[in-house]
Parts: sequence; C-alpha cells; structure tokens
Amino acid sequence: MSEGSATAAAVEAPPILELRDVWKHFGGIHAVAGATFSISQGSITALIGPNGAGKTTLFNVVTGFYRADRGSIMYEGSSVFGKSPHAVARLGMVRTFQITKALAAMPVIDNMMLAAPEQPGERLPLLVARPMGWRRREAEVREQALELLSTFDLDGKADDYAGTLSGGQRKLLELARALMAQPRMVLLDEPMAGINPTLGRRLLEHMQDLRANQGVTFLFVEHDMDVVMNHSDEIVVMAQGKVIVQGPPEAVRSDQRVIDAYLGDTSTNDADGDGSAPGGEAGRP
Amino acid sequence: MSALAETLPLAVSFDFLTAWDFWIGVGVLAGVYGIFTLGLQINVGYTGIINFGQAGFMAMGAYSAIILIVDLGIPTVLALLLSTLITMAAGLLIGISSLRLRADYFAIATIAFAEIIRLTARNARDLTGGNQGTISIELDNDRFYTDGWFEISNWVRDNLLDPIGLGGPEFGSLPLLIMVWSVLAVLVVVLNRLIETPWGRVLRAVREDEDAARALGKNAFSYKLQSLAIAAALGAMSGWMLALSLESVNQDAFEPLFTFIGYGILVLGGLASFAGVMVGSVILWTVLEGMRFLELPLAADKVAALRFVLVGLILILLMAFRPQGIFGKREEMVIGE
Repeated sequence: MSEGSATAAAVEAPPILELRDVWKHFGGIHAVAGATFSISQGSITALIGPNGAGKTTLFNVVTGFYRADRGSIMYEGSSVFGKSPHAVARLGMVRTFQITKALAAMPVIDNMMLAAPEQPGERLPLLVARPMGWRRREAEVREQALELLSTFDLDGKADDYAGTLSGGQRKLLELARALMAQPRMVLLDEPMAGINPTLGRRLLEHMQDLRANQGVTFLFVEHDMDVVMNHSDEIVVMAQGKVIVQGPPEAVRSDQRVIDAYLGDTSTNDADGDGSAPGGEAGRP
Repeated sequence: MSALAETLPLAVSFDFLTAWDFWIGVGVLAGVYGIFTLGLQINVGYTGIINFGQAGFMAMGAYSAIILIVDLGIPTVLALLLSTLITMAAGLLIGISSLRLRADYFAIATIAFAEIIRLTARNARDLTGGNQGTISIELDNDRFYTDGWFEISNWVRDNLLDPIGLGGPEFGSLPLLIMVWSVLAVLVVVLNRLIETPWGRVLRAVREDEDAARALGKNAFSYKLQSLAIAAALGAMSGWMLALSLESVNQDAFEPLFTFIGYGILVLGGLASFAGVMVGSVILWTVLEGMRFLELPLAADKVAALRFVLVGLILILLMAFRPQGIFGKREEMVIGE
C-alpha cells in the first residue's frame, strides 16, 4: 500500500494530540488499555471500533471528564493529563457528546453565546466593575453566533428554546456551539447518528471547510463506514481498549486485524502473531 | 357577614381581613420569607442545586447578628453586614465540602448542616440563650439587639408616617414592612438583571447540564459555589429581618419546616422567576396566617395542622392545573431530568 500521497500533508504536520500508553479501568474492566496514537495538526481523523472498544471512554479521558490511570496525554506540546474538563476546553480542545447535550431550556442563541470564550461578564467582579467591557464583548459574540447559526441554517431558530429543535438540528447546534468556543481541535462523538443524510452531508462539508480555512483539527467517532472512508485523512481503530491500527483509509480498509476486530470475530483468525491483536484478554465484556 | 356566620356550623369570621395589623404582619412575613426564597430560587430555579439548608443560613444570619450586637456591642448596621459575610463564608464551606456530592446527597448534607446550626443554637445557652431565646442573653448584657433598629423605626414613624396618619399602634410594624419590602424589591431587580448577564447564562447552563457547561470551558463547580454563597447571604438577610420582627429569637424559628415553606413558595410562584417568589410568598403567608382566625370546633393544634393541609391542597391543585407555578415557564422546567 502506498503510504498515502493523499494524506502526506496531514501526516507530516506536527501532532496536535499525542497519547502514549493511556490506561483507564472501571473496577476490573480495562476500558482503555494502553492506547497510543497521535493526531496531526489540521487532520480529520476517524476513531472506529466495535461497541465497547473504549472510544467514548477515550474521549472522556482526553477531555478531562475521566482521569486516566496512567499514560501521557499531550495536547499542543503540553500535558493535559489530570486537567479538569473546563481547563481542557479553555486550551482549545472542545468536544460534543454521543447523546446531544443541547441546553433545551435555553434559547438557541443563548446556547451559542454561552460557548464564547473570554467573556469578562461571566465573572461577578468584572461584571460589576466593568459593565461596558462585557456588554461590548456580548455584542461581538451575538454577531458571531448569528453568523455561525446562519451557516448551519439555524438562524431562523435563534430565539426558540433549543428543546424545540429536531434531533438533527440539535446535533448541528452542538457542533455550531463547539465552534463558538473557537477550538483548535474538535472531538465529535458520533456526529452522524440520528440525523438525516442531507444534514449529515452539510455537517461534513462544514468540517472540511473549517479544516481548510481555519486549520481546525477533527477527531470523530463514527460507525457509518462510508463517512469514515470518504471523509477522513486518517483512521484510528480501537478494539478492547487498545489502538490496533492507525493509518489512511485505504490501508485500514483492507487490514485483516480491522476486519477481524470489527466483525467481532477473534477466534478464527488470530494467527498473524501480532501482540496488539484482539483476543489478548479473554472474557472481557 | 356575621349573620351568615351564625347560620354556618363552622363559625368563620373574616373581620381580620380588614385589620391593618393583620396585613402588615402578613406583609412582613411574606417579605422576610420572600428574601429567604430568593436564595432557593437562585439555587433550585437557576443553578439546579437542591439546597435544603436555607433555614440554617437564616439561623446563622439571625444569631450571628444578635451575638455581634448584644455580646460585642457592634453597631447594628455593621453587625448586619458582618453576619451576612459570616453566613456567606459558611455557605462556601459547606459548598466546598459537599457540592461534589450527587444532587440528592448534597440536599441531605445541607439539611444536616441546618440542623447542626439549629441544635447548636439550642444547646449553646451562653451564646444564644438556648430554648429561652435570645432575651436571656440580652438581659444579661443589658443590651437589646432591636435597640438600633427601633431608633431608626421610631424616627421613620415620627417623621414620615405620623404626619400622614399612619403613626398609631396598629401600624407599629409598618416601618419594618417598608424596610423588608424595599430590600426585597431591590433584590428582585438586581437578581433579575444578574440572571440576564453572561454570568447568569453560565448559571442556567449548569442548571441544565453541568457536563455541557464544563465541555465549553465553564467551571461548573465554581458557579455552584457562587450560587450557594448568594443563597446563604439572602438567607442571612432574611434571618436578621425575622429577628427584628420577632424581637426575641428562639431556635424554633429555624426548624427544617421553614425551608420547606420556602419550597412551597417556590413551587407556587414558579421556578426560575424572582417575581413569582414575591407573589407566592404573599399567597402562602396570607393562607397560613389567615387560617389562624378560623374558629373551628377543634383543638388549637389541630387547627394549626389544618393550615398545612390547606397549603398541601393548594399545591396539589397547582400541580394539576399549572405545574410550572404562577410565573414559571413550562419550557424551563428542568428539575428532575
């Protein structure tokens, strides 16, 4: 396999996120068991693997929602290991959730404006001391929010409660809201799940645009193989808490280990002798 | 009216409804518990944290102000300010130690805190007067915590109320009513504006989904702590106002029951509305105080219990016909999700 002329640019870029031997267990279950991979700056990377492979746990570990047992997690050259979620987000790494967390009892515009960084009005002392400062920022943020909403065709809904949006619109809102935070890296947990193909295509176009125009890096969990194969530069495959393969789509598509792991078939073909192959820890759920 | 009452098996007189002192009394209580419930509204209606310890903050505000005035001789206004700060500090302390608990466990921790405060007040006789109330420490020190307030209230009566014919004995609590409702009105205006700022927006985001807020870079814990400290301050203010109206404070006034009267007001007025707190408090206290005047062929304690039966009935009807409360927004009912 040609190691990706198509992805050469992405592969040669410096890594924005690097994981080395990251572990996370719950009781006796090693949800993440020594995951190692790196994500290049400005790339779009898909994270795939069977259910229970540890993808969402990995997201939670990287973004600070869970504290890893051990390992190293470097983001833009500095460690984010053990940092709290809000601290990670403030560094420019923003995530969405598998089950959308649109703030249903808040208007769409408030959802958006909430995410904007550097709003002095979010701190009580500054709120009182510098009333003009936060009002000015608020006006800026509102403008940005409306602009972003219109690119997602949600501007007509700005004043509606987010709870009145459809499932697909909520996904779009969550992505738009993540972008309001001016991230340099976005982690999307199953962005396509439950949304219609038209909206899904638009979401993918936005990802490509943002990568091209603003250099935003994307890492997304996805089960739709068409989306994964056609819209990512790199694919990271996880099984049973480990990264078993990382590479461009063409290479991953034909990799026997991926086929085995994703089919959930670990008994018939484990003869390649690769230590990282699935099946190492028998009896794991 | 009286002819009608005689024909009824239960004698009910509504004469109290035209008495000034009845309405002034209801007004003071409604105002005091309005301020008390504003704190619950910030916590429950806007931050999504269940605080069952508001009566504890009220007790701390009242007792610390009284101790500062009576034992230490600190001027009234300064003492009220200090007692509010002390109670806020207690709010921070309980928040730091307990806010990481899951919501229901936190609620239990707060009610435990409130009971610790109340039972300490009952037993620390030298400090609080114990069951006899603060009158005993006032007599010991020959100093009364209401002195400073009465100077102000007498001045108001003589110079402002007497000239317009409101200086009589039935208007004795009118200066207090004016003070309590002025403070309540100012607080409602300030809180309404605060909740519309970016700060308030983060608070509402935390109410709905803490993880979503954290994923967007908001320190949810810090906002919950701030919310609790504000509730503590409001509890303290209501506490020293209650103390001024009671004129001698006893730990009975801080039973957990009063926290739940606050929740009754909250549900009646509607979650996420400060104006609703004012209206809910007036309705609830009118019912609770008005029931005192029912002349039923029952023992006094049974009549007292009946007050809460009626309040319960009102709340049940409210849940059936208007679950969001009088001023609440149905779209913003997020508690319990």
